[in-house]
Amino acid sequence: MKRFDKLPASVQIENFLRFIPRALNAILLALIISISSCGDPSEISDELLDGKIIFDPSLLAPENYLTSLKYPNPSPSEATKPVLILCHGYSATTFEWSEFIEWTGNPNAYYTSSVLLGGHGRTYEEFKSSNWHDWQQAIFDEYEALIAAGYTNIHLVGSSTSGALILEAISSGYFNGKTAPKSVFLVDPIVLPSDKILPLIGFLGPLIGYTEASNTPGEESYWYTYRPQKTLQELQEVIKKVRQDLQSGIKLPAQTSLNVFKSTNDSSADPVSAVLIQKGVSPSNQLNVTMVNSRLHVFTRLKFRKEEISAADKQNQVQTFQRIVELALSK
Amino acid sequence: MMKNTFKYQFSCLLLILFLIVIESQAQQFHFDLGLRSQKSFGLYFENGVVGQVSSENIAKNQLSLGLGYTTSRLGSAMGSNAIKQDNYQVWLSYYFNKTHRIYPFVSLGSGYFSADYESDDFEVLDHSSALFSATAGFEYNTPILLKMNLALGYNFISGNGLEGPGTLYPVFAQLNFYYPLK
Repeated sequence: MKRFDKLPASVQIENFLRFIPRALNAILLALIISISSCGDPSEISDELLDGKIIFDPSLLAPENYLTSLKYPNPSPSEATKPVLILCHGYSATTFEWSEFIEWTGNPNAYYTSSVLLGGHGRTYEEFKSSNWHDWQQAIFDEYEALIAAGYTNIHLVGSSTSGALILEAISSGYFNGKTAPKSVFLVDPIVLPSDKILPLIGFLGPLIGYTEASNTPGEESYWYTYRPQKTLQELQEVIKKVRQDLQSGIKLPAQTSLNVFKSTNDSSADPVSAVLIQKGVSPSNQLNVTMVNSRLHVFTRLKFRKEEISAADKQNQVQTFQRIVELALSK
Repeated sequence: MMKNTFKYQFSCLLLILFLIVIESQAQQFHFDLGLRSQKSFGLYFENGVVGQVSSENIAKNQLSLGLGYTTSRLGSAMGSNAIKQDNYQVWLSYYFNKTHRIYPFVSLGSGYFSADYESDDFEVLDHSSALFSATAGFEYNTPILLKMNLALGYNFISGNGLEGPGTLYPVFAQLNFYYPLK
């Protein structure tokens, strides 16, 4: 019998190659077993947002969160005050913008309307059955309610996935024929994911069922811990559409300015998302992109982070809040 | 500046290597020239030119050294707002059962990647990287001398939001057409 290490290199490689089909068969079998065993989390504890006890509080008292319900009949002077519609990211809740509301740079000068994206802030099953159109519809509902109530000075503030949802709304012509927003502010908008495997979710998703986020105990009540693969597919679909729209060019409505604030290092929304927005949005004189020296995704939210929050993080947050309010009041 | 110098040195090195090989043993070598179309899963089409050399004396013509340049300038960035990015690639391929009409191959590659963000605002972001990849696929020897191969590849270095260029994706597919010059 020939010793393997005495064989010529080419024969050794060919022998190795013959082994590959057997290895592939084994992998395939493992995949089939995992398909039959994966699905939803076997047990979701009550301490998690995903469970059946904790909900986003805006579902119980929406009038405390939405200006259209809190002040449905504005006077002529109230109707011209800026309304900032605050929109959170994928798998988050209205909590994401709570620090902005608490900050209150000049609370009497503007209103805030905190939107809970469709499908979010509810049970795992409700989140799982939602799609990105549902997520976006909640923004449209509040926008249209404000217009119907007579508000004319509306601004959209979106973080992460809401950035993509708002860009998609502009690109698809949602604001055509309507009162357009005076300005749009995007904090860490996602166009390209930092996790480059996300585009493969269509293939891999059915195998994995869901992914599990490593939330801190504080985050567990406000962010989903379990992320159904179906919602990841929805996320991938909307960001892919926005990327392709940017590639073709997105034109801002006249009088609408777009202000982007993007972390330079971001493990969720790749910083190059800002480059794609800069290249893809016109007219350029209505666009302003600011790169923020931060390693946090949605750097305007500092509570319950696993990372230690520095003085620079606090400064980034306050400066961005100030800039948003300043620009909204200047319109 | 340093990145331009690196690219220049890389190109010169590869050119010199090729010339030395061609000059010294031209009689024993086979040369293929071709076109490459590359698609990252989730991002751009990048197209360009490729060439590879193999020898009867080295693994019976089954081992090839290749060089290539692919760019989104000839792909997704043509007439669009896609980011212009360039890949300078060098690889070693091993072909199995080359006497058949269709045969498998595997490659290990390296090189240099560079993206042009076209604005000083993004100087702070990584826009270049070394390339290190593995590919595997099948080559089809067409009846008209032309060789066509299709491969799936994986970049071991890619962007992750914290470091590396954000448009350097890990999984890609390649379609190559080679015409044997010699």
